[in-house]
Amino acid sequence: MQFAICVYESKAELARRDDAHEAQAYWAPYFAYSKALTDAGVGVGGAGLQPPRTATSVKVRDGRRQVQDGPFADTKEQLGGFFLVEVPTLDAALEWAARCPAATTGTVEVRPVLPPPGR
Amino acid sequence: MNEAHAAAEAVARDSYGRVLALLATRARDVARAEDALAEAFVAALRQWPVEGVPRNPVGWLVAAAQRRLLDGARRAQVRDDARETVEATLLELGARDEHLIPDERLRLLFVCAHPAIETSVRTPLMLQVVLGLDAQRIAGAFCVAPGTMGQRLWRAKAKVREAGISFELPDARELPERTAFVLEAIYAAYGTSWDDVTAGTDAPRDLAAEALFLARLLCEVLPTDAEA
Repeated sequence: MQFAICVYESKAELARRDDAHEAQAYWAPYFAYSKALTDAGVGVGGAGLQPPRTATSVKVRDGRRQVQDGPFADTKEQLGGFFLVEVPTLDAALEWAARCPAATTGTVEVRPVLPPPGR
Repeated sequence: MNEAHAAAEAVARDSYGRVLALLATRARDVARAEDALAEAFVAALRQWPVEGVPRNPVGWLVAAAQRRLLDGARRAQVRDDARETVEATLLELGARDEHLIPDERLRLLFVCAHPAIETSVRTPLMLQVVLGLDAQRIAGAFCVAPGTMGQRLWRAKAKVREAGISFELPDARELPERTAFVLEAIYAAYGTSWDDVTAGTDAPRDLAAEALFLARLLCEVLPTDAEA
């Protein structure tokens, strides 16, 4: 099964990316985590996201496009990126999720990926 | 006719949890296993009065339910590995003796008390799938409407299937924490039964007995755990 490991981080944690003194310390565990996923042969994809201030939300109602500055919901912790893993069970995915750097500072959400259409 | 009904009833009473646990762990899906077992009971009530009660009624029901699971798996194209396991077990079981049927209830207890399952539904889920209590009786013990309880149980079983919860036993590192969840759910069953006593209803002692049965089952399978 494929699972998305979604990384939710606080504003303070995300701000470390922009801090010249903190950036390296912020990214290093993610590089190591990403490498661990690849080395174990379970990492199948994913992406880091630019911070929520760069987000733009769009919806179409009655055929009209409404574009708004900001993320979908202004919550304390924001989606900072996600990893896609291929593992047999939720328990194995949770194991990997717990090793994600954000697990100790923010929240990591695990969700099964929908199977491809037609299955 | 009566003999066939009595035989089916005896299996339902004595072996429901064991049979369901076996089916559910092989199919990795509690809801589908329940459906298949229910269909197997229907078939038994139709065939046994005509053809006579089989020598090994439990084995007959397991095989009949496994065939249904297998058919369903072929149709639904569920995960290939799950289908293979069902196929293998079906072959392996054949007309084996009843005491050779593996006891997978412990795995099912751990699935019911999995941290990914909402806390409040873990105990009801255990009572239903491991002990075969019906939703109405469980609802009574937990003071909620039967429909509401039915829905909660249904959602929990859907979560088991869709979230990909493991039917393997937790490894040594995780075992203590996971066992604590199982124990909590069993205590809750026992506690609920005494709440009922103070509320003045009658059914409760049964639930206490069921809770003690689960506790004994846990001791049987985890003899080294001091808490159990």
